[in-house]
Amino acid sequence: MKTTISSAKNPNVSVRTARRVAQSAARIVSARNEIASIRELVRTARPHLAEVANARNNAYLYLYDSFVRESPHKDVMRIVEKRFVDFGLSGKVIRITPFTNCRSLIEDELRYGVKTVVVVGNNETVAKVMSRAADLDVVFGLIAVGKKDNELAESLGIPLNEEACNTLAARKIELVDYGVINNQRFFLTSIHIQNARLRITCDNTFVVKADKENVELAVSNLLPSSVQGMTKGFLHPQDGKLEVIIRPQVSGVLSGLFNRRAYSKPSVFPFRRLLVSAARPFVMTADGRETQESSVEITVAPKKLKMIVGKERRF
Amino acid sequence: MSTKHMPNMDKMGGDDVETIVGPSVRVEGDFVSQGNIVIEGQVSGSIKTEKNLRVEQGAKIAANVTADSALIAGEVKGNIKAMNTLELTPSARVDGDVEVKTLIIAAGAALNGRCIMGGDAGLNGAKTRVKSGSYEDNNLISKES
Repeated sequence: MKTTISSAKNPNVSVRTARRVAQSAARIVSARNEIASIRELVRTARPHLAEVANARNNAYLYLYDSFVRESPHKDVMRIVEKRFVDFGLSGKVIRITPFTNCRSLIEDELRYGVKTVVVVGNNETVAKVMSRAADLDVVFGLIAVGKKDNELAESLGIPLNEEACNTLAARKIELVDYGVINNQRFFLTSIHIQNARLRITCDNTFVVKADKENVELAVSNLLPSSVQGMTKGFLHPQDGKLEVIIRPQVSGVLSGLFNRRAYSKPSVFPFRRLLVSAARPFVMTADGRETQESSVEITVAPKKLKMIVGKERRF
Repeated sequence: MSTKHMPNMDKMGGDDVETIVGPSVRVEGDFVSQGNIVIEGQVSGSIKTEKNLRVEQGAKIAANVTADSALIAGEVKGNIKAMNTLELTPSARVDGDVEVKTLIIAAGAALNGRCIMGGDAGLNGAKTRVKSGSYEDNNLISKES
């Protein structure tokens, strides 16, 4: 028997219809409650979602040097890794060895969306990574572990050990220069050539000679020169040039007698391209790594390296 | 004595000096810099800077020089062009033409060449000052110090 429904209170509405209406009303109420609880969930999850988005946007790759897992650094690393989680800086960790090809490793990870490579170690670790990978399009960070051999962290204004995580989280990025050696490898801090008879050509425009004497040569970028007497005032890693410091060795009776080297006052030249050559091979130390060269071309990559730096940086 | 026209060489040390040619070094070629230059050694070719040049006593330059301001205490064989001030100390020896706005010559300095003065101020506004004498526009009045 069909009936017409005019209102829920209409006595002519059948019981079956009234039951159907009541069930619909109950479903509406429960749906509203569900929507309210989902809204509450989204509201509380929003900050975490932002963190996850941030982590995804800046996806981190950590390159650990082998010594950071050994004592006395184990406790420091435990705190560091806890801070990675607390600050939303978690990422993939890879331990590097002297035989690791850091460049191909980073290139592989770039394909998976890595945006930030953090070197965890000391000056030597940074040199190992940067010597082949400085030209990659990625932001570099540093967690300096230990109290020794971390002068680079000091120059960049990055505190040591777990405090470096705060700098990493703040993510202040600066573009700095780096040096290119023979169009093959890179250096970040300095180059040093001790006592060789060198011919030095700057920017293809002038030649520097020191007569027949041996010279000590240093190129500084992010670390003060190792040449004694030069102040850190010559640190300018964002001016698009490098500085070469040349100190001729002075031969004399006293220096021969006491087997001590005497040097005359140093000369300083800024350059974009430097050609250093010698009749005999000489030992060159770039970022702490020694090689034997007979001719070296040093150029600058101006403001091409993206580095996370701290407030107390020296530039 | 007024120091208004003297080049500000006091700041040339430490962080502000960009290029230094040390005493045992020889530079050959076209030497161009955007910052201050201090020369204590030997330079041949040409020297150009947008800022200040200082040639120390004992330095030898066989080059044409262009600078904003210059202080010469050594030997220069070549023309010197300074946009503002050129100061010759008692040990200065210049063999070449000089083009400058303000020229300061100390007693004992040697200048063998033409001297062209003016620039923005024009010839009538040119100023020359003799350290041991008094100061007059376009007139040299030497007095015993």
